[in-house]
Amino acid sequence: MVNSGQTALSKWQSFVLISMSAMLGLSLSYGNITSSWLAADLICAAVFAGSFILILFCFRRGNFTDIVDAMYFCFSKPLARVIFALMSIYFVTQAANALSMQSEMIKHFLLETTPSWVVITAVALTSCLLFRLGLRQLARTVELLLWVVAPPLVLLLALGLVLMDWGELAALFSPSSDTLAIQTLSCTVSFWGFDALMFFLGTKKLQPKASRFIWAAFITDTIITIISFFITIGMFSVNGAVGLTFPLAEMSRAINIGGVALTERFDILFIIIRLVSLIVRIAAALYCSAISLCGAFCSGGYKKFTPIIVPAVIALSVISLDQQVGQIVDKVCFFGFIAIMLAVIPVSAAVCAIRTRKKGVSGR
Amino acid sequence: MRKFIAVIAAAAVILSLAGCWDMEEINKRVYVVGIGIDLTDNPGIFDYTFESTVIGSEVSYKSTTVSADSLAQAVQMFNKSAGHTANFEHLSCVIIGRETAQAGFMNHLDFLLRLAAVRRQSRVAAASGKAKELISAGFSERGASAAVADVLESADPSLGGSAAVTLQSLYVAKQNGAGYYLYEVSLSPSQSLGTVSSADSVSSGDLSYSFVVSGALSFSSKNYSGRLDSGQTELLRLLDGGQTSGIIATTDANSAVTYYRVESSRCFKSCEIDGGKMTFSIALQMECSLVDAGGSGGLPENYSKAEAQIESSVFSQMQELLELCRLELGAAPTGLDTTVRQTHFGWYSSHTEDFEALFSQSVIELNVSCHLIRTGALNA
Repeated sequence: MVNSGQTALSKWQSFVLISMSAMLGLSLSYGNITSSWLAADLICAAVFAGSFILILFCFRRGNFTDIVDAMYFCFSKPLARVIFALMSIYFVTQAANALSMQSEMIKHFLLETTPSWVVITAVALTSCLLFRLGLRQLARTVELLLWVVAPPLVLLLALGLVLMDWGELAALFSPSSDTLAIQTLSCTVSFWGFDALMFFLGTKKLQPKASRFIWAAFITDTIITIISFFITIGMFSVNGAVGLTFPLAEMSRAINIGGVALTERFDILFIIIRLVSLIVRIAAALYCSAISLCGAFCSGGYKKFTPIIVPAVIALSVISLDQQVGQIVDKVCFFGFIAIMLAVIPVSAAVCAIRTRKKGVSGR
Repeated sequence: MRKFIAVIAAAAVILSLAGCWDMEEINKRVYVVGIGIDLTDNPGIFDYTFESTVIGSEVSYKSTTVSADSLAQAVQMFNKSAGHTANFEHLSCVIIGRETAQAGFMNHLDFLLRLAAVRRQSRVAAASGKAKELISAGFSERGASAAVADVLESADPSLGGSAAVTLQSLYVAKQNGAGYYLYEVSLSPSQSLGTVSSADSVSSGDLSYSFVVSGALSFSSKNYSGRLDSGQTELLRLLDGGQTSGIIATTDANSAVTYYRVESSRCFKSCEIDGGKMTFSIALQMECSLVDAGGSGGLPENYSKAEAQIESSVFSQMQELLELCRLELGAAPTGLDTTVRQTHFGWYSSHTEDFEALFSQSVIELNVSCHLIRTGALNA
């Protein structure tokens, strides 16, 4: 099962890689916040768990070495190349979107006078460095980085849970049917990053039976998303959270031990946690985009696309600071994510199931 | 491992370089720790008093007043006069003159809420007179604003939680279209039982002054609705739960007064809505101890009798206060609007506009229970 030339990622590495690719559940946005958020998020979690089941089934059934192998098996070559080309654009857009949002947050809370492009370039270059190391080195680095961010994250969430007003959560348990559909669509944003999973699967990459750890990553991130959202609502109420541009950062800003005299700037702690997970997310998105380009151009050696992808991410991030461009980028990310999770993955799984039933795995 | 260290080192260098962009040395900054807002004789013009730190061999505080039509403009003028950009990271307290508060002050706070550097836990209080006088008069080691914040903090049993009146809690009230209240702070030459005092005190001649909570101003979502005195404000804190400093006085049939300290309290509120009519249930549980000093006359016969006296005393006072809130001041001081919003979110959202009118027609059921700590001073 393991490729002779390379070591497969350990189960723990697959857990941290997938978990951090989705920014540890500290999503960039919660979407539109209404009292239906919890119900909508759980619906999204169930739907995307279905996508997880399908992609895991697809790779297990087809015994694919990697995503390129899988796509070329499931689709005709020209179609697979088109899908890869679109996915490479999508992942560049995802990275740019995450980068521009984070840089805006850093500008707002931390480095008020530093131009956004400086922050964007700094983060993108750091991510590029990680991406250039390759998937295995990236996973090992992420493994160590998790120990850097996990303790402050636990501290932040624990304090938030102590200080929040639990009564505010009652509103979330009476969802309104009028807003549920729209809320469900906007909630997909908190699952962005999980689509990178399909690029980490394959006999060359993961140890057998790593699926339990993949599920653990999905569940952990979903729980962290829900807890952090609960704290935000507990701090600001549903209507209060609606008016916040950066709800998670504002939530961290609101955490304060012992009034005004003691520790108070937990937003900086949060920004550091987010920065680390963002660097991993960008690196993962760069990796996915580069692999997609390899698939699109039928070429090996994904690192050679670095000079195209990284400047593209930086340029698009800077451009998307403009509100109108930002909205277009948001839409590309939204539809791209939906297309991958609800179209590409189910169709791949269906085709794989049909073709392997006819020919058997050995027929490949 | 070497690659990991290289990545961390590279990240540290790259990110810290970004952070050093356009940096400003600490001695070039002016830290504003308190802001006072007062009406002036000119309509639309306000006096904004900034209490800022002076960093020398020792940290001292100075107050600067500028007149402007908005806080944003006042900050610009202050920056010009100070020669440096004002930094609001250490803002402890915003004090609003009573007249200004009564006329409406929320638009002044919008500017502060837009600044990420301003802490959301900054206290907001009303001055019994002019905010400028409070800030300028009360020089203590930590500055007047910090001292006022301390007083408000000691009045807050929830460790910076829901009971505190902060920029954040006012923002939440505004976003929910709810009412709110402000503690009123004044300089007092003496302290009386039942008021909250600060350890920070100031001296003027032979007199020693300290900041005290002298009352509270209540606001509906639209305007000022009335004032509570210090006793009512103290009593009101029982509805927040976690009250730990109040003093309760009871009088028996022989007019003998006994004082008890509230050691802890818990308040459970619930609401039922039937046909658009709200019925609230408030269950107040207190743990009290006997205060030796200040009593006149005989003590109650036993603990049970004393507990009954406390329950009766608090019940009658609280009932009166709840009626005042229901008919005049609005739901904000009682926190019952929050109870409705949390338990009946959909209903509250559709009745936000007429909530105060509906609240005035509501029924409030109060239940008070007290446990007196057994110290052996009374018969069992």
